[in-house]
Amino acid sequence: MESVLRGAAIYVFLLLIMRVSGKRSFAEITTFDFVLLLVIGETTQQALLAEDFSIVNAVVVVATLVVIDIGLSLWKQHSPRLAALIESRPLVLMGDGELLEDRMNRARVDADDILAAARMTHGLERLDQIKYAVLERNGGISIIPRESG
Amino acid sequence: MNRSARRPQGIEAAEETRLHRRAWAVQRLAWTVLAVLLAAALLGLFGGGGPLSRSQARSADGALEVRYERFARREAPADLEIHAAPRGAASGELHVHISRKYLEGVRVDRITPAPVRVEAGHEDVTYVFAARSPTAFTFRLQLQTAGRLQGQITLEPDSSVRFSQLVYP
Repeated sequence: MESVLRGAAIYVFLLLIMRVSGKRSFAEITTFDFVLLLVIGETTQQALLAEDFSIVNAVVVVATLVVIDIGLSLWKQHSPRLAALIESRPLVLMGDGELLEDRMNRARVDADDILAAARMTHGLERLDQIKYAVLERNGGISIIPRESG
Repeated sequence: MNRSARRPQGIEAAEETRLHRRAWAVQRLAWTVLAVLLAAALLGLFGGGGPLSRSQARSADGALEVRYERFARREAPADLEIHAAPRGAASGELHVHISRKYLEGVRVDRITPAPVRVEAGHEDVTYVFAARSPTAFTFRLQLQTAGRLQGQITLEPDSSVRFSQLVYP
């Protein structure tokens, strides 16, 4: 029983932390983000396993995490509100060629980020070639180029 | 046959609908199995707490009761509680015998309250506690071997309890 409760508690905690940290944090993982993830993993491991190093404990903890994850994904499919709560919603950062500064500041995205995404996905060179830029739920920025010609 | 003719909408993706269907069916089944496993774990069938994980055994005369983990885990802390009601313990000492075979399968981390002395015997080990009234002792153990572990505990003069633990690896 204890292993299941431990797993559930850690799952909820990590979910909250990741959500609160903002969607930009782990989307495009920098080297430091990666190190941070490792440290978080190391730290939570202590809480997950306590003094119990048995195989059955590892099995139960992993099963707990996976089942909660599957359960939440099924629930999210049926409840758009829950999905919005956990995964947020897409956010338009650039509408019809115009930068929406207020939203960009709040989402901690700047024009350079949008330009970087434009270069990488469409090989665009300037902001005026972009029609729409959307911050997606996974933290990536999607670009819709202006029709050329 | 033209390669692209088999693909819907002309997309060249190596799609195999039947494979997916089978995979989905297996997934659903696995989810159910996992959910059942978790329910069992919550009940304590895999040890580590839960309503079914502990059990107790009482001697015929009721002077000795042993509370133990019916489902335990190897390399994890496990408590063994011994409740003893001394009968006419004029000497002020309680003699508790624990079978050697059981002690070979465990590591005793600590005993609270601590025994006055420990006597090693041929078949069992005798823990001598100072006590005049009904009391309880807790052995904090770490189980060392997976599988079924059987123990016998005797409180002098003749209250005896046998119990059995299932230790998961």
